[in-house]
Amino acid sequence: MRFGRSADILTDIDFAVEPGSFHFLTGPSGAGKSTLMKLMYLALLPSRGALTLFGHDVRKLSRRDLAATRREIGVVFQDFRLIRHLTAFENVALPLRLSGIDDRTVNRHVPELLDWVGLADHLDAVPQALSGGQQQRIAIARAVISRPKLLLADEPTGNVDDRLAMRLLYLFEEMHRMGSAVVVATHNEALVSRFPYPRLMLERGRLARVGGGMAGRDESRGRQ
Amino acid sequence: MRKPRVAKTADVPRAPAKRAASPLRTKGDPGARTLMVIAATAAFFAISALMVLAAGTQLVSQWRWAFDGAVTIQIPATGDAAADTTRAAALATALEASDQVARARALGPQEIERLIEPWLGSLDGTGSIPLPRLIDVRLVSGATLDLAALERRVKSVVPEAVIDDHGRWVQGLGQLARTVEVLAVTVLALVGLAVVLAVGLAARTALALHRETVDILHLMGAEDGYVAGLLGRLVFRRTLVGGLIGLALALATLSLAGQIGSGVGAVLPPLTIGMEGWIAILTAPLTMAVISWLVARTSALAALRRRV
Ligand SMILES: Nc1ncnc2c1ncn2[C@@H]1O[C@H](COP(=O)(O)OP(=O)(O)OP(=O)(O)O)[C@@H](O)[C@H]1O
Ligand SMILES: [Mg+2]
Repeated sequence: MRFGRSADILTDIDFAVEPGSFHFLTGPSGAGKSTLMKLMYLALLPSRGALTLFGHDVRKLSRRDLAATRREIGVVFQDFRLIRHLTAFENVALPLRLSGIDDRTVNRHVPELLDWVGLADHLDAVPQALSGGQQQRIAIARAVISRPKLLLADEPTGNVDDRLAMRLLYLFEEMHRMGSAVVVATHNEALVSRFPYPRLMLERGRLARVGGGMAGRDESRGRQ
Repeated sequence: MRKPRVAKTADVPRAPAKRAASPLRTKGDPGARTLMVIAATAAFFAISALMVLAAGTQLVSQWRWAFDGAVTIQIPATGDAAADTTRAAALATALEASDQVARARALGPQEIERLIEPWLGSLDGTGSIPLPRLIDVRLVSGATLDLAALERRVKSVVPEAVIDDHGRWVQGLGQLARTVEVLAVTVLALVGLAVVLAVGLAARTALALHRETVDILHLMGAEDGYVAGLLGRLVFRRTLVGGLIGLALALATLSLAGQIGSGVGAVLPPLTIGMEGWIAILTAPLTMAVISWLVARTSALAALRRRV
């Protein structure tokens, strides 16, 4: 992967994320974690090589199919990317609305999830009125609300204390139990070491695998 | 503790379900007022042009109905009423012989007095003032008036007779009306073009302004049609409100013009717009909003397709 005429930022990346698996993606700042995540959530298309998601080569997907594939992926962006003038409630409701879920279901599920991430009192607050950690939790709620097949979280615990970080990781674990494939990018080694999941380590654009087994069908697969 | 609990909803205070808020911000957006003012201005001009068009069409058809195929011949009074009557009758008979003329009738003195009464007041039918005699000539329908031939025939009977040709007058009016029509249609077309261009620009500007939001929606799997739809609705609402303001202004102007016009109403026939005209005028804001919605959607779709 490269941007324009830059040097390659990611090279020889070849790995597969199995359905329902859980991976940590670690590596020093600037190693290319976010770039690899962007490839997986289809913000970027690989400049060379193949990227297969849910069994489809992404370069062969139509615009409409790309959009449908994106709706199967929940993303916690490193910079949150909440919609500024929408309330916490409306931000979290958005993936459901995009999938055409009816208002009644939305009105039931969104407050429940926001309550679970500790924001029951801030349903109608706009992001600017909330702290970094609170915004991050909205971003997480938005990523998991539609129970995506693939959940990608880029540094999702960067702005919260350890206790809350653990709680959020339990939420990801819960999603993993319910069948989502989860990839969490982080440089919080302490946190990673408390969970038994395999680790993908990026070092200057190259991938090394550490620990954990990988079994199961080859359905959601990234290769570059 | 690990599992997001169900049945927690009860203790979460929540205002009664609101309509889903639009992800595109609609308040405090500088483009909003501009588009509304453009829409109001465009609607004002378009509706004024429609009024002119509708009133003009009505007016011309009224004139045609009243004047088409009619000629009036005037015989100056000689002071001898009996002689005047004889001459008028003779001329009428002579004219009826022409195959261009369907009917020629000399108007009696009372009829003529009634015609001029509004200008000169009552004359008591005494014939105390010498009045010119009038002959009302109806042409055969479809006949084109050979004015020179008619004039020769008239002069051969009564040399002093004067032909008052409505045809020429109506033709002149018709030409004027057609010019006004062409102008009004041109104004409509130009206003339409301006609205299309302005809305296209507004849609692209809004996309640029909301770029961040659009990108987020895109990454969350929103289809182009969804984003274009949000934009279309935004533009529809603004142009509809603007259009209604334009309509109100145009109606106010019309009623003001009507009040000024009624001062000279004795001479000018009252302006009427007609059923079709009113339908076109009253639905103009909606028509404009629908066209704007289509344009906004189309240009948004075109702009979105250029992205990954
Ligand atoms: N849009 C871009 N254009 C050019 N270069 C880019 C772009 N985005 C990222 N890069 C470069 O790619 C490299 C990897 O960036 P990336 O954001 O993936 O790192 P990261 O591992 O997520 O770092 P961090 O832990 O700080 O978030 C960096 O050297 C960065 O400068
Ligand atoms: Mg990063």
